[in-house]
Amino acid sequence: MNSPILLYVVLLLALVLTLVGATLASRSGIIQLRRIGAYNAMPLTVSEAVESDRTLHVSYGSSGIAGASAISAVAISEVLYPLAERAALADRGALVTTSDPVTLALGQDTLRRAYKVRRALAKYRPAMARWYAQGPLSMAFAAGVGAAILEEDVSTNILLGQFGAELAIMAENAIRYDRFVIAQSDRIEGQAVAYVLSDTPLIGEELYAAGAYLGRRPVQIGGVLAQDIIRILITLLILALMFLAIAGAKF
Amino acid sequence: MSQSPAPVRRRASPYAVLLAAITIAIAIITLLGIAPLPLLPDMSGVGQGIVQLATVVAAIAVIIGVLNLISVHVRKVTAFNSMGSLYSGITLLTFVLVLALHFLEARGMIKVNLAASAALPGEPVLTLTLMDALQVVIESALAGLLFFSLVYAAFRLMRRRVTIWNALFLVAVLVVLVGYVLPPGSILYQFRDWFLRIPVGAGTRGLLIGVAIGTVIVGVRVLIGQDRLFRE
Repeated sequence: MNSPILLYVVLLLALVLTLVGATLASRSGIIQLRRIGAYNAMPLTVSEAVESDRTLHVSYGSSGIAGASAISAVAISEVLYPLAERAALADRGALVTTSDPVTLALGQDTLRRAYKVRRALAKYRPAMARWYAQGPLSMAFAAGVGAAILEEDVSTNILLGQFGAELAIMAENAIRYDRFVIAQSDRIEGQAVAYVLSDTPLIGEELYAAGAYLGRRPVQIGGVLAQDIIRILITLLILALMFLAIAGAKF
Repeated sequence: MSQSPAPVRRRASPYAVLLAAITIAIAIITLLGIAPLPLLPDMSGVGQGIVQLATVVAAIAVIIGVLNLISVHVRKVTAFNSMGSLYSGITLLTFVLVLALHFLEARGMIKVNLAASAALPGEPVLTLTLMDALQVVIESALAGLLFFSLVYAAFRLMRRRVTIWNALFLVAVLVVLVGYVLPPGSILYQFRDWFLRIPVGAGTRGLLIGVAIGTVIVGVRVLIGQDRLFRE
């Protein structure tokens, strides 16, 4: 099977499983999502930020809507929207940071929609979403965000998307002043740092289940089911290929 | 804190429907352009055109990003309530200076002949040299400090909560660090080499496969117009 056909088979499988999962979720509610600490903690920490009139910070890292990490940026918006809706109740509200200028527009639009839904559009300012230049080693971005965390009196930091080891600078700045950190990265070095520094890290693909945990729409829950079934199928395929290779099969 | 108004009732607006229609059409055309199907007409030209358009939009967006950065720092300078205002002033001053230097150099009013410069003929030597001399050096120093920050974080991880996974993480860090110090023939060096190739390599692939599956699922949701992006 050539690769375009394989691509469409995977897409079709994902579509069918998502729709079946969505139907099951909307009719019977039999799909139980496993517990992910970060998603349990998010609404609580945002409520804390609202109560104490401090800022919620969500960072897209270098996830770029015009690049290979576009879907990460879309998934982070799924996290940002419901949290910004809650944060819109506070006077300080939310802070969004990114090192990708196209994602800046996505962040601003997501914030604006969340504030509009809460009828708090008067509080919304475009400067709530900020672009910091990435720099050759991403350290300029990390230093800029690290300073903003302190200046804006951030209480909850949600750092998701594409980060390298520079994630340590941002998270360290937050932890040193007892600020809450939830982190994840789709890069291996960033994910390792997130695991070490965050109290409740998200691991890899858990980011893409955000909508199901925070929004609870049937199609999003169906997506999580599809994600799990495809993962099991790939695992079985890897095991089958391994046993075939042990048995001496040539590929 | 202000009163909590009830959320506005959400329903699909004509704007959201139009946005979804445009996005889905462009996504399908680009997909067919990148991975053409045998029986369908070749869309690779249109697909490449759309990708190039996205690249141009991204380039223009950098200007919007710079304007955003300037507006944030101008606001801080005018507020003048912390040390941050001073740093913002320095940032704005540097921005203006580098812009002026770049303009003067591009107009030929300043000529710099740096033999060791990595700039190609016709490229602005002065601003690139400034970038190498300041930005890269400072970023490299900051990257060097990361090591200490990470080792301390690993230690703090065990103080926070002792679990089997945290213990395994700390042992792995120690094995890799000590393995780098020891000579190539030693057992720990060979173990580190095996450790990085097999368990770490497998874990990395597992993580990337998971990210790829998640990407496909969210992509499918965007393709069928069921993402929150399309809801006002």
